[in-house]
Amino acid sequence: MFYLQIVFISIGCLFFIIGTVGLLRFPDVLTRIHALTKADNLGLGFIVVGLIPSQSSAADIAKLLLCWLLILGASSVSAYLVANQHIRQMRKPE
Amino acid sequence: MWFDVILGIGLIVAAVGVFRSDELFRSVVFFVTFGILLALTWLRLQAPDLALAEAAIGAGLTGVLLLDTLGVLKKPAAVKFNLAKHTLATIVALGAAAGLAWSFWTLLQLPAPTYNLVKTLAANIDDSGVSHGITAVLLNFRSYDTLLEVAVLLVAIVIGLGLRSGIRQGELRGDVNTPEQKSPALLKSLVHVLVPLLLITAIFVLWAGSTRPGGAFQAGALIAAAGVLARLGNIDIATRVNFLLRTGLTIGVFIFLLVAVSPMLTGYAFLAYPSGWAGLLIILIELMLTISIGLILLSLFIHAPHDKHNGGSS
Repeated sequence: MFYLQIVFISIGCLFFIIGTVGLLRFPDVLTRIHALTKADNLGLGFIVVGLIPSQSSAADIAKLLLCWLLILGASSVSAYLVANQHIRQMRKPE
Repeated sequence: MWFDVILGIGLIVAAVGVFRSDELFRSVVFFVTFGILLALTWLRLQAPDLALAEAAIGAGLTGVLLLDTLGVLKKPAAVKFNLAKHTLATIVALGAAAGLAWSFWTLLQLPAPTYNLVKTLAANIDDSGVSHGITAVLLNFRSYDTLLEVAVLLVAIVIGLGLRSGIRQGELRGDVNTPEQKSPALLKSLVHVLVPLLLITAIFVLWAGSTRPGGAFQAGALIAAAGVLARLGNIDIATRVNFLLRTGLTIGVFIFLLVAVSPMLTGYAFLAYPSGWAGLLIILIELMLTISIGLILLSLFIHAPHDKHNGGSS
């Protein structure tokens, strides 16, 4: 189980690194949001799954999953808001 | 070990970033990063109470206030390089660093303190009415400090409200309700989910304060965060209950003072809780303080002067 946890958390970290590389390397706002929200949330999911076996009680597991769900919600909405604002500014005549 | 070193270096980098950024926006982002790293540092120093407060107030709410201020500020003129000013600043900074190094050095020379505060606290915690050391210190052994702290917060918001009334009516965020301010449905639905959750968490953090890390300041910050989110989602709670808001702002200090003074009527000292009542009174004070702190922090955001041409501050 321990090695499985290591594998999961490593995969999660890998996704975070990929997301960060994307954030640094992609050319504009929209692609950067794409890299950040997609890769990071997937990575976070892997880390949460990797951490579950270390928890002793069901309540702690539920808290971890709740954290993940809330971050999923918050990051998808904030990604939408940033993208929305960006597109509006693009359309606005200078 | 290595994590701590990286954390320390990160703190310094973030602090330098705050001051050396070309844009104010970048400075604010660095400031928030600094706050989060500082919260992690407090966690590593095994001070979860401070970590909670730093993350919620230092990084979260102060960041929101700063970003909100950025939306109102006009574009600053480019700062010209001024040799005299820079030299003066360098001298002052070097002097401060030397003073700090000197005081640190003298501190190291001092004999180790014989008076162990941790042991004193552990020996007396049964009399405090709560079982969490931090709360016992904040609201029983050193409650005078906490009383003054919340009084300072109250003064700050009174000044804030006073500054607001100096600005023309109708240009304030609280008074405008134009259709262009409508927020996206997606944000609204997220806010509908988050606000109740935040309030529940706030109540839990407040309740946890008597036995675990938590307490009035952290819970108040969560309430303020819920209010800020509601505001961004265009759910206007605060301006509907203006009278209640003002009562809420003062009730923390009022109840605290009432509890502090009333033992004097029967010959006890100022701020001495009657024996057996300490736990209950601490919870009462903390509850009222939570309401006040939450509303004060929220009011700083809501009642800030606002540029009406700038709709979004997300």
